[in-house]
Amino acid sequence: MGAETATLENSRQATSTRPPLQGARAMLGRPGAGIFIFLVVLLIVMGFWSPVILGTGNLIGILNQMVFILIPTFGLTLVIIAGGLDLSVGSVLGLTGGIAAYLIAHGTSMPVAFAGAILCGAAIGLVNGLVITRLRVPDFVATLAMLGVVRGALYVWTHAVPIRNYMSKPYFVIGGLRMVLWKVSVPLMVALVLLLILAFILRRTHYGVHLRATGSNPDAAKLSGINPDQVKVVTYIASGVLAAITGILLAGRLTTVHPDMGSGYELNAIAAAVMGGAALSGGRGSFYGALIGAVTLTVIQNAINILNIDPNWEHVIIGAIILFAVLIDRGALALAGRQASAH
Amino acid sequence: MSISSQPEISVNTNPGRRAVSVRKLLEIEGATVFAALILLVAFSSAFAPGFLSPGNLTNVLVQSVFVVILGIGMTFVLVAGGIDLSVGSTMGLAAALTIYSINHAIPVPLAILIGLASGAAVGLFNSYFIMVLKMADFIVTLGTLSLVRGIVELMTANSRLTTQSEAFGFLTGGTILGVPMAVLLAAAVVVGGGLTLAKTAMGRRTYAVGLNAASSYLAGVRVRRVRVGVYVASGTLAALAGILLGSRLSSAHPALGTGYELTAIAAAAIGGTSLAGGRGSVLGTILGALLLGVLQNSLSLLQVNAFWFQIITGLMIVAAVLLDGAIRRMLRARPSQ
Amino acid sequence: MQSSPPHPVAPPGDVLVHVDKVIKRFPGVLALDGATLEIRRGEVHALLGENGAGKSTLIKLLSGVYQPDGGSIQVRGENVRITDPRHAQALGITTIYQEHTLAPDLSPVENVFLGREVRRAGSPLLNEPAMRARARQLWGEFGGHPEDLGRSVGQLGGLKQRLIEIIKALAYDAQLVIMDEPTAALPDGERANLLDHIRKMRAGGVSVLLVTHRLEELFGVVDRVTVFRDGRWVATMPITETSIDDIIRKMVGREVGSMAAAAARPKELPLADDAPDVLRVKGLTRRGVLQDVSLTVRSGEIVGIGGLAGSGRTEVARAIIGADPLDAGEVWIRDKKGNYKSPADAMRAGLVLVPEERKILGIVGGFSVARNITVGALQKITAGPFLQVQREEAVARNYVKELRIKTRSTGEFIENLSGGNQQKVLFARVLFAEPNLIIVDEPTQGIDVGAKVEVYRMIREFVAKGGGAIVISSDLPELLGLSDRVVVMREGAKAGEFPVPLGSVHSAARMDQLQNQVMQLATGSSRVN
Repeated sequence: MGAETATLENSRQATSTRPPLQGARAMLGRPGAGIFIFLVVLLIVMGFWSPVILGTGNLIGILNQMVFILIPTFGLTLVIIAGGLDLSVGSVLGLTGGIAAYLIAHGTSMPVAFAGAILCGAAIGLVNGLVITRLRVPDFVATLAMLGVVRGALYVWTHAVPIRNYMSKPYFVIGGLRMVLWKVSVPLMVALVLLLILAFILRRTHYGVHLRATGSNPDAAKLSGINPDQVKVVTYIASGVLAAITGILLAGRLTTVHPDMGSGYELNAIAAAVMGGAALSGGRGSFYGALIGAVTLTVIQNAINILNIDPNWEHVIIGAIILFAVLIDRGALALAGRQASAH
Repeated sequence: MSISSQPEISVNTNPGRRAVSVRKLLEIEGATVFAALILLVAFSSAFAPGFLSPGNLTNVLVQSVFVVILGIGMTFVLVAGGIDLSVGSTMGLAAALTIYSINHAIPVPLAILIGLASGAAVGLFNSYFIMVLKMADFIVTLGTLSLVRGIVELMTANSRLTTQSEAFGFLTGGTILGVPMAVLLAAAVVVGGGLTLAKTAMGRRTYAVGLNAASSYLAGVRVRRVRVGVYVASGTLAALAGILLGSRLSSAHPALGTGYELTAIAAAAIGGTSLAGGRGSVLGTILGALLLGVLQNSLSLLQVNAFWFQIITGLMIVAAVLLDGAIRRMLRARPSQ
Repeated sequence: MQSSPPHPVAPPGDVLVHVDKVIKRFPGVLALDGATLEIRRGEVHALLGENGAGKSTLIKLLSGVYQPDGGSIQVRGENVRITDPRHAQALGITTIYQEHTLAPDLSPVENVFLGREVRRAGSPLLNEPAMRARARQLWGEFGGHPEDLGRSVGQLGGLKQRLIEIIKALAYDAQLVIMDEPTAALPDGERANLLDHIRKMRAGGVSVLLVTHRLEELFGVVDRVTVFRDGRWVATMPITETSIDDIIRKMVGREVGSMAAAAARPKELPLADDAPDVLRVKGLTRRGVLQDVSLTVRSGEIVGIGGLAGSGRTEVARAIIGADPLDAGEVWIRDKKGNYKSPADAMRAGLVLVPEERKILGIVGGFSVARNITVGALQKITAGPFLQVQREEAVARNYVKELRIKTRSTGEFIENLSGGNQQKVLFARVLFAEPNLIIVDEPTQGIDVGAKVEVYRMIREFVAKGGGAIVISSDLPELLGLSDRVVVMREGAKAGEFPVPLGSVHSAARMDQLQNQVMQLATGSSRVN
């Protein structure tokens, strides 16, 4: 928790008179704190049930697996903080993965293919952003339409035939099927680097402040000279790019791009973002929270595997967690708030 | 854009009958979707082989029944300012429960009631989380989408639920006076839903809640009752759609109904229902659903890649919202006398 | 109100901002028609006028939201064209709007520096220590506790939020701070506090342009006032050379008696001694909000509820009509007990509320005038389950005529009506329910003088027909003028109750004494002169 810890330390220096418990309470007020506690409890309970779960190998496996939800969740978190919603990430992920795979299979060099995919993701995000900010179409409607358009385009383009024959030795590494550094996959490294960059931007730069201001009160942002529409468009572009990065990585992981690759990922990503403390009303969210949300989702899938539970329980449990995550987060917030107002 | 500016010009230059009638036409909810539907039907009749055959037209109607029924429930929820993402999963649940009950020797009518009750229960569950725990509609019904889908999977995964019950099959396969049962049922829902929303006090209150829940409450509207009502209606109608789909397939599979929530929202949005609440009509939604049904059918008759359907649907949703906004701005600027 | 310390007024020649004969048109409206305003360095200047006088438009011109269609604006003697809010800030003009312009999820420090964060040289990196130090210093000058700076703004109270907006303005090195209704959402105690801070800003050499509806606030804070009417300049005068009555006269452009007199019970219609009780409330208690509040309202009587904002005035009303749950207490209406579970239940028993904050809690925007009237009592226009549109139309037409609601038609969207006419529609709504008792919370909030008089008349007419009324108001002359009896709330409990003798409004001395009585009870102090 590099950057966030630093912030905490700073504020502690600033108000050294603050009682020690205050720090813990401030932690509780952070987005995603509640679900973090839940995750820890979940892991401990799981550990008692089956120690395999807490083995290093398994834990890293969980992290490697979680990446494909996590990166789109970063995009969703950005969009949600700015007060929007992006339902198109699953489709964008499929299309861009398909583009990368197709280009490579047809002899394009890997960097060019990847750049092409990322450009396509950015372009779709740009269109989303412009339709929402210029044409004033509600976020939900615009990106729902984009979900259909992009997925349809992928099917029409591929004639529903999977794309194959693009894998090469480096792509195995990129997809995380072959490790270069101990058991840590390249996608995981990419995700962690993205996490550090995004969290840094959110907490440490004026871009982050402007982003949160845009979602929290666009009018206030505007009066302070921030262009909220511009901020929103940028978040949609970023979401498209992050979906494209996921598409490229997932294409490597799956070695075949089926035209339905990524379907439904938008809902998982929204779930993870919300579990991580992002508020759909805007202004509130955290990338570390997104990490915790994505890990929680994956831990549940993993536990179902290892504990030999009927895999059909997965949706039931995830649904229940979405419902309760908000309550848990709110509980933590209320606790922090009550303590704060007691002073 | 041309559509929005044209009538204004004619109003300015010629305040006569023609301009007024354009305005009057635009004021009718669903007028633009209706025009689009007529155009599409005309196009399909001309170019799609066999489109006008009675068999094909019946087919289009029966295919559209599910989205029509779901869409009406969704319209109630959207008008009240909510959103229900759980309807697709609820379809699966109701179908599975009904067939499960039939297979356990419960009489078909009772089994159907059980299925419908399960939908109402999902609606109650949603409204409890939304109203009592004060959570966002989107999140709650997203959670229920997953939760209920999981239950459907648990019910159907290990034993595919199939039925040979003729009585159950009659729901969609049977006809009365040559009209398919499913279409008759949908028509009943359309009439009931349409009248309720447009002509009754309950319907009026639904709009009021969607426009401003706080002031409606202080004015004496039982907001909670309205909210619970729309979610229960949505759940029950989703269950009905699921039961009909189960009857048509004679079975319930784990993915039955998946994705239908988005189609229902699309139908409502194309029909002019606002996702911000307070605006929309049953008629508009039906037209939206029929437009989608005719489009899908024509594309397949024209042997166009079926996936164009998704692309066109997406574009239509955005176009509908834009057009609706343009018309509304125009009407607002010069309210009729 | 404490008296202001003597302060130096800038020499007349030292003009900071000069607005010269500006014109601003909107489609169909001439919002400003050659309006003029002069603000000197280090003065507090009040801009006054009825709704629609052009005050808001002028503020928006000065803050760069709009650009004028004619005339000129000079800042420090130079002609300027203020292109956007940022430009205005660069010129030293900062505006604090009525609607809160803070981002609730951001910290106070982030809010203060929003849009021009202090960065580490040549990078996008925030220089947090620098910003925090500056904010702490300013915050300290206004007596704020440093711990507040560690929370998000949404967790702070109204006064603190206003102060943060002031600090935000000062951190921009503003030379002119424009404040639009700065005290509107504040409790009375905090209001006085804020006015102190405005004096402090003046002492620091900053000019303040104050736009307010609360004329009584002007004295002791303001140096000069300018009055606008219908988009035109009417008068500018030192506060020492004018009076509230004079200002009102200039605002409305005609001679009006004091508002209290307009509200008062006519002498020939005294309250009958044997009038039966319409409402009896006993021991109303809601933990942490209301404590053992009892009151009665008789047929034909208007009972006023006074007290500071946040004293539980509105909460009493909400509790009576069942909008909030009760922990203890009884509500009786005409000898029938009814502890209502919702406003809908209360309405069926003949108890209705015209709420405060009309736009948020009153009108249903997007509904027509007719639909706004009938929405609460739809059962009266239904046959079986179906609504009868013709009957609805007839009902609406009737009220539009009777209450003189100015609207193009009953089908007009309510948001297209003026505030006063919206308020009349809300009266039509509650009258349609044929109530025994109406509760009116801030009946004339944000509506102009003409409409105020009509609202008073509607309340009078309702009680003249045997109904009872409760009026909640922060406007003391209005409260005393309307009420036969006044109940004063303090900290969720009843602080006192006293009758207002018939004809009191015609004696200035009597009114002063009654106002003092309300303030004493409301603040719990006996130190009122």
